[in-house]
Amino acid sequence: MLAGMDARPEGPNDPAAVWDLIRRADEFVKYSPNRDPATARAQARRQLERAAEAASALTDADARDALTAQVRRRLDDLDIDDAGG
Amino acid sequence: MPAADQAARTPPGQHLTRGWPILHAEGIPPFDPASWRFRVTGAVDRTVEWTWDEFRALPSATVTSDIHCVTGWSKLDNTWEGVPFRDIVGAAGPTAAATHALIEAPSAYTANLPLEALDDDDVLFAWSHDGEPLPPEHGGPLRLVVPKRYFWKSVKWAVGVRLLERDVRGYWEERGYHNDADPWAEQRYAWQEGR
Repeated sequence: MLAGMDARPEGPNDPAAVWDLIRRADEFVKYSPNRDPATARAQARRQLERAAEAASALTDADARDALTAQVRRRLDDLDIDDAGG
Repeated sequence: MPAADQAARTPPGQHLTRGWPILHAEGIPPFDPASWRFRVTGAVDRTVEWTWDEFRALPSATVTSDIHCVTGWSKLDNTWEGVPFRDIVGAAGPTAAATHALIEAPSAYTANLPLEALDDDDVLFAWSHDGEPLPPEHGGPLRLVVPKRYFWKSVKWAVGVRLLERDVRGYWEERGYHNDADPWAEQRYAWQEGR
């Protein structure tokens, strides 16, 4: 379970809202085979950068750390993809 | 199909699609029938390996089932042909301590499930969809099909099963998606676990 997550999105400073940004980034990646994959990954990266900024503002430290780690992991995935790995 | 029947087969939060959207997080791996191998490893009495020709010669089953994608679409009445999961794992002989499995693709992609969820008549390693060879973009030459779970558990381009004595989260499960992924319970995200 992701720490600090227990509800659907309620507002901009809500862990669930940050998760929703991450989820949308995932969908850019998942649906990228139907589009230009490089463009889709760039959109995912922008979405994740927004998620990172929103996560850093969370007051719940557990949620902040868990969601920041999820964003970091995905940015690492994108770095590997962009490098052709 | 009557609309009421369609509704009864559509889990909460899902909408029906007649097409088949293409989703995956990694590139389509090349398939060479001469070098392709499928392996069952881990907590088994003996590691088993098949070539493509050997795998295709295994007794097959045909199952019609529904697809439910965590992104929100469902596709009803898919006819799959392939080898039952229980036959593949049975050939290797799970040890008494084996409780879970990781299904492996050539990339780092994996998905995990308890063996009790995989030991079901409708769980196949499928090479055919609706009477046609499974196309690469949908996981061909071989994908797992686990109809009772969201479709990310149905690993594309499957090349192996690793039996485990404990649960180990797969690719999306490590990235915040639900470990169990039952669409009828709408188990989409990890933050729902334990509720």
